[in-house]
Amino acid sequence: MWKFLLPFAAFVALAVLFAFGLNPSRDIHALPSPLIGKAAPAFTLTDVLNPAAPVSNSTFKGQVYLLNVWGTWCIACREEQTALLAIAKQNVVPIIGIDWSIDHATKERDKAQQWLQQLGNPYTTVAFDQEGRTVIDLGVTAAPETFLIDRQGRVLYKIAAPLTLEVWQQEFLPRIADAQRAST
Amino acid sequence: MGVVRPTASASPGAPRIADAQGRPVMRALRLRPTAILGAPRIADAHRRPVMRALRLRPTAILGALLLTVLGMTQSWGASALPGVDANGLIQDPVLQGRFERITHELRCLVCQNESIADSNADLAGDLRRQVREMLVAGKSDDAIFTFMTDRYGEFVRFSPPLERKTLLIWGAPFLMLLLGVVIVHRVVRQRSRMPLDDEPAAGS
Repeated sequence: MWKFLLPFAAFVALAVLFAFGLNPSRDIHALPSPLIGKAAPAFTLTDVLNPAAPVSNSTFKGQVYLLNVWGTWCIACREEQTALLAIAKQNVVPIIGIDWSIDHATKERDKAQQWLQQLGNPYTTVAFDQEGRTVIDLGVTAAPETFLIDRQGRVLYKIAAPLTLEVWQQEFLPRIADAQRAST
Repeated sequence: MGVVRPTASASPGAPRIADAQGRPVMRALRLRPTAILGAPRIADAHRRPVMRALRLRPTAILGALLLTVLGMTQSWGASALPGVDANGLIQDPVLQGRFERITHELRCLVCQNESIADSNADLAGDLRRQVREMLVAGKSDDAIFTFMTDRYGEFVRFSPPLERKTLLIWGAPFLMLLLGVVIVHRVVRQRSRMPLDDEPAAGS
């Protein structure tokens, strides 16, 4: 009896394991962010358009806002830009940009200014992260990444992919509506 | 991708090899100018007469070295830490040893199967800088690992912590060993019960 039952049980166990592990719709690169539900790290950087002006996310406390990490070296960010412009036009929440200077070069600031001039500026403000420290604090692995921050300054949601209008409608808008209904 | 014909034995393998070779080349192109400029010249030199190879080589090596040093100072020059040289080496050998151990234990999240010690990604460089700074500031290994897992999750560590969720991972080798012992024990006991006259029949 065991002689047949054991291999069969092993087969079933493996089949279940493989069905889960090899499921093509499962994104094996998707990582849960440990920041969800926790306070977004505070940062004070300078405005990408004006090196003398400080930009801090504490200014936006009490508001629901988006935090979008991008860089001019990031090809997917260019693609995302059109969606961000359309989202900004809807005027639902302020969009704070973080321009990630991945090689720590100041040239990124010039390029970002050019980018915003030529492609349009969907951001309320853009902070310039030359050292890449705020980006590490946010647990960003690649650009673009977008965080949704609630009135208390907590991270509600995050995507590690270019933001599209579809994702905006399905994932962001309902969460924003909930977050805005909640009192401060 | 290429057409995979089941009849030809070589064709299914071929595109994969090209892929495997293609990826490192891509990474080298993006991150290490030395790899682009240095490597082809040296490869060229091998195919040419010795004299010409000799003439070419020093310049290629010198160029590669220069570019490497340039690349290093570019990424590390900004953070002049006390007790750390221009190449990012911590002078204190004990601290440097801990740096090596920690950076080999942390996963580079850009190229997920490399440690931040081995990775050439810009982000890995920034994370190495972070580890170096925390070590020089006198932070403990645990504090550094917590810093990383608070931001990137447990995935950033190559060896998962021992907790209820990971009990199976850590226990699996012992379970397998136990299973093996049980199987061997049963087989041996079964065989020892077999009649002895079974042996000549099996041997002939």
